[in-house]
Amino acid sequence: MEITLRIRRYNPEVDEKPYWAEYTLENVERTDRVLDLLHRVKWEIDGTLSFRRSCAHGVCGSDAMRINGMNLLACKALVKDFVKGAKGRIQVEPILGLPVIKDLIVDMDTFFEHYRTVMPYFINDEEPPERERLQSPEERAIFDESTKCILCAACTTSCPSFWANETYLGPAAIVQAHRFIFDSRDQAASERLAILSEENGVWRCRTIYNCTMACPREIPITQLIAEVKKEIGRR
Amino acid sequence: MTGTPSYNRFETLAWRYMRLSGVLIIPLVFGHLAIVHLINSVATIDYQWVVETRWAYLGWRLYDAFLLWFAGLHGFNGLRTVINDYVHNRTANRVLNYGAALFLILVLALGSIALIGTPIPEALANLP
Ligand code: FES
Repeated sequence: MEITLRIRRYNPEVDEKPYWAEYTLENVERTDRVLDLLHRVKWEIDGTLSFRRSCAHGVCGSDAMRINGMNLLACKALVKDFVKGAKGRIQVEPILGLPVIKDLIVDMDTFFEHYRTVMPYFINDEEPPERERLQSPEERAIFDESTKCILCAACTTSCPSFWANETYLGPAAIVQAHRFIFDSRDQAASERLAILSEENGVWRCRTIYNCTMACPREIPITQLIAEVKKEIGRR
Repeated sequence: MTGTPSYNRFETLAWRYMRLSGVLIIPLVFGHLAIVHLINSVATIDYQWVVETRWAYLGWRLYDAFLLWFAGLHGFNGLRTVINDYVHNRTANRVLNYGAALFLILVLALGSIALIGTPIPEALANLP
């Protein structure tokens, strides 16, 4: 099939402002991924096209982008999801709400700053037991969903609350906090909850559900945020 | 870890309030709409009707008082949220928030004065 790839491009050294560029690709398979198409543009047509990707298998979280208006991983988005006939168009832009560095690459500093704010690491000052800190399967299940996050930023950059105000920690940071808050072995839940009780924490979430729809790992993000809200309410 | 972490109780409370008042406002607002716009008509409602027919009953005064306070505070908190979301300039943010608060106080005060201050008319004496 034939696909016209419409890409939002921007090179701050040359371009005054971002613009749309179109590339027509022939012999595209229905099962090709959007990432494959980007590769073809970069390798066969224009080597200056810039985007991030690493694993190409939905694990590393490098290639979140806005494809036909939805935040997706280019390596998981198949052409057949967008084009049914023998010909079609697919539009690719950088994720919204973060400054564009070049083409599809955005500056993730704010995102990772918010991530660090919630102390996304295991905290327990007690002497570790001889073998390991035990946990029951039930205790583990409570935060199972939040362990799946790959920090691709698809959720945070789909959130209108974050678009409006980038001081909002955002869904990804809250999911990461959830991962440790509800871990029975961790001891810093109250510290994290206190951080998230601030104006820029969970209360900026307006239950819009964009994050849940955007998550390539199918984490029920809005629900996890609600669990954190409830936990703060209980303290 | 050391010390007791400090929670932002105000934001937590504000969130709780929005949920609770939101649920309460639904029957209050629809009831109000039905009474004022469907059963009666804004074209015929006047001061006389409000004071003599409606506010003759303490129950209706309470109803209106609840509506005034719940909806007023709910709306104000919503406005505060919107301002904090979109107005990032510190001074402008302050000015707008104080302005909204002032407006809220004015509305609540006027409404409350009317609700409390309006004398119960004689109509009360001739309850059916
Ligand atoms: S390239 Fe690693 S998630 Fe897509």
